[in-house]
Parts: sequence; structure tokens; C-alpha cells
Amino acid sequence: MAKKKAAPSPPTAEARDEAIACLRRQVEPVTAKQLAKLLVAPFKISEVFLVPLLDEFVGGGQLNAFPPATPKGQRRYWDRDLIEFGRLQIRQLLQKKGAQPKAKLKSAAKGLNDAQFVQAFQGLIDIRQIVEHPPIGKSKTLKYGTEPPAPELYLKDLGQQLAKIVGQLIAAGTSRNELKKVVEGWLTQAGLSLEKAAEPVVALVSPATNELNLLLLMRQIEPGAERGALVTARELRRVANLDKNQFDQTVLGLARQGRLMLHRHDHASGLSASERDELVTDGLGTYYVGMALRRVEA
Amino acid sequence: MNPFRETIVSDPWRTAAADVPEIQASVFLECLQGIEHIRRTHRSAALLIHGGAGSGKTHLLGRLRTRLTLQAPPATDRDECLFVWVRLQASPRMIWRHVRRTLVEDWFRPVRGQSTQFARILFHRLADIRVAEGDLEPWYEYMLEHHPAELDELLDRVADSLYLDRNTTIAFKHLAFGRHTRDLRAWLGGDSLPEEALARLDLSQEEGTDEEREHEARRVVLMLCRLAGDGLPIVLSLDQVEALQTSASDREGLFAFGQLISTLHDETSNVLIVACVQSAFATELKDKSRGADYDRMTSLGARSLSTLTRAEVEKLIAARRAMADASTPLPAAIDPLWPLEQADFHRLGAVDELTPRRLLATCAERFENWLANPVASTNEVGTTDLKNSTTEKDQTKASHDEFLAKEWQERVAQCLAESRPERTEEIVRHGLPELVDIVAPQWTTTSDKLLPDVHVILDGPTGEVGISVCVQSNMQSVGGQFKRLKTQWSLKRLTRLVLVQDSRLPLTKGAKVARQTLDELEALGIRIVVPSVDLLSNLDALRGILSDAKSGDLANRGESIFPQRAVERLVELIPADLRRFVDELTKSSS
Repeated sequence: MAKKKAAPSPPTAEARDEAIACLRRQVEPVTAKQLAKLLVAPFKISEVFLVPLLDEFVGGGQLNAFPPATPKGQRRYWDRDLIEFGRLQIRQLLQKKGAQPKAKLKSAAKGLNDAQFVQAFQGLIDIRQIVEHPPIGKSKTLKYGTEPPAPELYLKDLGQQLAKIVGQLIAAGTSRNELKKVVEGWLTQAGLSLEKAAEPVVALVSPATNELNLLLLMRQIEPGAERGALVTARELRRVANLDKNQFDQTVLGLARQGRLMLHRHDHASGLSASERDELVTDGLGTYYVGMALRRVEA
Repeated sequence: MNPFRETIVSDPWRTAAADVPEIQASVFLECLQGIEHIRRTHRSAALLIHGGAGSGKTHLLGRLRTRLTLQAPPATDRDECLFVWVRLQASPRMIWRHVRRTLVEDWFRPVRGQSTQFARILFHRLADIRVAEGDLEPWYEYMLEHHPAELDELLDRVADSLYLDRNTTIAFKHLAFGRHTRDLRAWLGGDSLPEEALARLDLSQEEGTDEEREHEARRVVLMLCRLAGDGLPIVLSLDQVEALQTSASDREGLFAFGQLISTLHDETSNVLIVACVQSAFATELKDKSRGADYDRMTSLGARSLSTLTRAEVEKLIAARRAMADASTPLPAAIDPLWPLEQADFHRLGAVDELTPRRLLATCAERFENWLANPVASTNEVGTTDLKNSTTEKDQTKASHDEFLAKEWQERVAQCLAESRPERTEEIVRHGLPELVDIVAPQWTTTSDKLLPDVHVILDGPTGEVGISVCVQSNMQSVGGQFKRLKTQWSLKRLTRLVLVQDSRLPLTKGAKVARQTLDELEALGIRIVVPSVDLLSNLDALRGILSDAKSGDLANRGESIFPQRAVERLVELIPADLRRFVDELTKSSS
């Protein structure tokens, strides 16, 4: 006789905590079934218990529920809010289909109203997770993509026209050097110099890039950052991969621009030297324990 | 009158000097949304709010309190709430007792001159089951006067529907009938009551160990939350969480706080917990709290308080200027920043650190300059932001010294005026570790789970000294504590044991068992120390100042005074009595 399978037991407090922690680690919402597979012993929870547990967390505001990915699919769960979910949907569309007009992005961000969409969209623009693509040819529609626009698409017609006219001029007796000179002049005017040595493959990271990366990282390591949650200097420093001075200067620069708000450590003198090193300092005795993205008050 | 002078909101129950709703509007809105969330989901939740010193945490709680205070006669067709403000100036091992006492005090606090929050609960509960239509208050008055038996039956039905325990049901009925209010308030708050008072109330009181009393307080708090019901959400604001920690390395306070939040979060269905901490402490909570506790304390998120924008600065200045009295006419056509000048504004906001407290303190100073010389520039004699020269540093130090001396005197006087023996245990258990840390740093504070009635253990050069605070009106409880102490002393885990009593609560003539056990304890070498009321007031003032300093709420002219600086000065200010008290506790022979 086959051994009777033991009935699943209700989740322990530790297993409940692990379920939430596991969801927090996910890069997109997951169904109860998917989560059940991700949980490992001794924190395994049967799907029978997991669905009501997740719904309980949703009711308690610890998690959010999202519609199924397919018409026959199951409800999905995540700790991020609707705005973050909208951003995910936008990024997924762009990765799948390339640059798209804003209207398409809006339809991809299901469940977001106009104001929420603007917030999600602007957030992606601010941290350069999506970039604007100028209209091509006769189209007046701006598009947005995850990468900067490919120049071939924009310069294709110009290249064809140039090839045609250059051929005609050479045939008419214009010297190649003269043509080259004119074209080089245009390139210089447009900010492209052919004389300059090729740029190194790995460019030094500019302060502007550091700033963008830090803002992006803040959102990644703290899901509530958009709504003003504190990101500690230590956490951000750990993932930023910048030297101390570079990191501190970038953070102070962002604060001066009003893009983030620094939180002072009011009695840093009581800390050890190594603890102080983890904070951001202006070099004049002021230490900052962390930062929050500055929100515009209603 | 200088309209900019008041820079600290020390109590959200007091009306704030001026409120600019635009400042921290989004965090305020999140608090209101949190209440709606609880109303909708019938589940408790928590929001962690943090900011720098002077960023307006308590002011925000004050705004919340004002919004939630009953604006009209009680009605159940309106969304109403209850408000509790707990300043966590307590020993971690008494955290539930502290919450219980504060919650009860706040709910007995008269709102709109007469009705209390307890009355609001009563009306809401009665409205759930009453049969009559019409206005609630007149109906209640009518029932009280003409049909008390029927009212009593209705209250029984309320208690049954809420599964209230016997004590809570009886207490609820006393509330409804307005009986024994003083003793009832003491009982609900957890004060020890004499047997006769308990008999009058028909209530019992837990006579257990320290841990059991703490457990009882927890049970009462949860029961009172249940009494309020889902229709009446409770905003439980927790302020000065930092004061739970004796030192930066002290984990007991963080643990107790985490447990408090988790229990309230999971075991109630109508509480919005709003915890306010300094940003540096928020990172400590994140790093050192148990993960599950931190998740619960931020179940609705963690929010930063913003520094001020230019528009907010102008609004705040305008609101304060409007408070200037008629005897001080302001300049006719003035810049929206006045009494600040552009240079002040840029300096204050250089790295985005413009907090309301810093702004107001600078304005106050500029205003005084203007009063002294109305034709000169207001920032000609300013000192608030000019701290670089040695002279300025000396002046700042002198100013802080003077401020702390004045603060010390005022606080001691206030503590003396408010001194009650019921608070002695809390004062000693919270204040003594702080005092020892200052005057006898060679001694450290520990605890021992096998000695539950020994409240503080001092570990130092001459061994381990246990201190048990015995301040109860109920002689049976006192006798019980003495007996348990005798057993615990026999375990030989301490070098010495000292019993601290309050002169205002002596053993009564009838307390034969307690007296006999006390004699036995003395025969075993256990010492008895009875601090004077003056000494207790000094200790209370000390812990109050240090708690404020740890929480960023101690400021002189807008500049925060942090614990290290406060301690430097307090060492000079505390009277010899306090030092002698520590000597007496720690000395090796009687």
C-alpha cells in the first residue's frame, strides 16, 4: 500500500517571515505557486496555506496584489507598489519591442491612472532607465527606449543623399579633398571631430553618470525610496563602487541640486572612526547618515 | 514678544504656535491614509517617520492630534479616531506598563473641555447596539438616569460581543456609570491599589513578578484596543524611542521596542502605530532590530521628513509674523523672508539642511537684532550660524551652559510639583542606569532572568549589586515581592541586594506578613534605601533631560544639545545627594 502523504501543516512565524523576504528579493511579481517553489525547507509553505497568507499580507499592507500575467493565470504578489509595477511593465515592453511612443508605454502600464503613469514614466526618465528618441523623418512622434537611439536610423537618408551628391560632384570634376574638407567642416560644426583620437573604450565615469547611478541604486536597494524612505550611506556606498571621496562628493552634489535630501548624524562624534567612515561627510565636521529622494510636497 | 522664539513642540497635546499645513504635507497625508487603510482592512499597521533634530516630528504628531481631536459632539456617522502619544522615557523592561499608563492618561484627558476619549469609546460601543433612534448623548443621559438596569444590560451585551474579560467589563461599566473615577483611572493605568479600593471597584490586580506585571500591562493594553473596536481606529504615536537606550550599544531597548510594535501590529486590528525617530536612530533600528520586527514597524513604510523649501520658509515666516502682538509693529513693506536676509537663507540652506527649528531660531535672533536697532541690517550681530571663531565657540559653550543650568532648575521644580509615588518605580528603573553611567562609570548595568524581582543589577568593582524597587500601595503585593526576593537572594547570584522604597508608601500597620518578611530580609543583610522626594525629582529631571538630548529635543537657540554635551554639564549640575545615592547603593558594607 502506498504511504499516505502527510497533510501540510500551517506555516510557522519564521516561514511567514521568509515568504515576505523571498518576495522582496523578486524582480517582478510572482504567483503563490511560483513562490511556493522558491521557498526552501524548513520554510516551505504549501500553496494551500500560501494563498490566504499572501492575501493576509496584502490586507495588512505589507504586500501588494497584481493582476495575473495571462487571462487564465493566477493573482501575483510583490512588495513594490503600483508605480514600481508600472515601471517594470514599461521596461519589459521596451526590452521586448524596442523604442515605443509614450502612448504605447501608457497602455503597457496596466492599472495606472494618468497621474500614476506620469510618476512612473518621469521616474524612469530621471534615472535614465529610458531615454527619449527624437522623431525620425516626417514623423513628429517622440519615442522612448532603454538605450540611446541608434544613429544609423537617423542618418540613413542623409548618408544616401550624401553618397549620391558626392558621386555627382566627382563626376563633374570636384576634387575629393575639397569635398572632404567641406564634410569635415560640417562634422566639426556638429560637434564631431575626425581628427580626435578615438575615445578609450572604458571612459572615466563622469560625475553626472555617478549621480544618475546613485539615484538609480537608491531606488533599487530601497523599494520605498520614491516615497521618501531613507537609504543609509553605508548601504548605498557598498553597492556604488566609488571611492570614498567620489561617493561623498557625488552625494553632496545631488543634495546641492535639491535632488536628494541628506540626513545628518547629529552626534557622530560618539561613533568610532570606522563607523564615521561609512557616513558621508562634507569634510568640515558634518556627517550624514543617509539620504532620501526629495519629493515635491503637494 | 518675539513670535519666532518658540522652536520646540514638546507635547502634541498642546496647541502648536503656528502650523503651516504645506510643511510635511505628504507625510501627514500618509498618516491619514494609514488610518483609512486600517478602517478598510481591519488590520493594524505601522509607519516609521524619521528626520533630523528639529525637523518637526512632534509638530507633525501635534497636527495629527489636532485633526483627530473631536471637533463636534460624538457621533457614529462620522469617521472618528482615538489618539495616544507615548514618549518612550521608560525602562525597556517596563515598556508595556509605560504604554498602558500613558494610553489611559490620554483617554481620560478631557477633550473639548468635558468629554474624554473613553466617553467617545462608550458612545461608539453603545451606538452599535442601541435600539433607540435620535441623538446619542441625550439618549445616554436618559438611560443613565431613568433606566440604569437596562443600560447595564446593554453594556453586558457590548462586553459579550467583544469577548472582554471580567475586569475590563467591570471597568467599562464603571466608566459608563461614572463610578469610582479616581481609583478606576489608577487601576486602568496599572497603579498598585490598596485592598479596600480594589474591593470597592470589584476588580482584581495582578500580584506577580516583574515579568508577570509587564505581561498583565500588555494584556490590558490589547484589551483596551479591543474595547475601542474597529470603528474607532487608534493612532498610537511613539515618540522619543531613542530614550529606551541607555547607551549606543544597548540592545535591550531596541528589542523591547520591536516586540511592542510586533505585538500591537499582529494582535490588534485597529491601531495605526506612528513611530518617530531621528534619522541616525532609524538606521540603527534597521540594522539592529529583528527583521520581522522591523518589517512590522514599517508595514506602511518608512518616511523621511523633508527640509524646508523656499516657499515653505516664506509661509512659516509669514505664519509666525502674524503672531507678533500689536505692541511690536513690524516694518510696513517687508520682504517675505524678513527678518532673514537673502544671505541668511542661502547659508542656512547650503547643503539642504534647513529645518524648521534652525530657521525659527535664526529668525528669532534676527528679530531681536531688529528690535534693538530697527534701522540696521537684521543680521549684523547674528551668532546662530557663525561658529567658526574661537570666541564664537566659547560664547556658544557659555550659552549652552547657562541654558542647561536654567533647564535643570526648571525641570527639577516641575518634577517635584508633579511627583507621585506611583511613578517612583519608573523613575528609578529608567533614571538609575543613566545616573550610574554619569557618576560611577566603573559600574555597568545588567539584568538576570533568574532574578525577576531584581530590577537593576549594577556590576562593578565590588561585585554585583541588585536593586529592587518596591513601591506599591497594595500590602499583599508588597509581601509577595518580599517573599520572592528572599527566595531569589538565596540563589546567591548577587554580592549585595538593596531594596528601594518610597517614604510616601510606608508599610501599613495591618501588613504583618510584609513587615515580618522585611525583617527577615534585613536579617539576611539586605539593605533598605528610602530616597527623598527631592532626590527622586532630581533623578526624574536628569532622565528627562537626557531623553530629550538623545532624541534631538533639547535645543538652545535652535542648536541641538546632544547627550555627550548634556552630560558634560549635568555632571556639574547634579546635586551631591544623587552621587551619595549611588554610593549608598554600591557601597560594600552598611
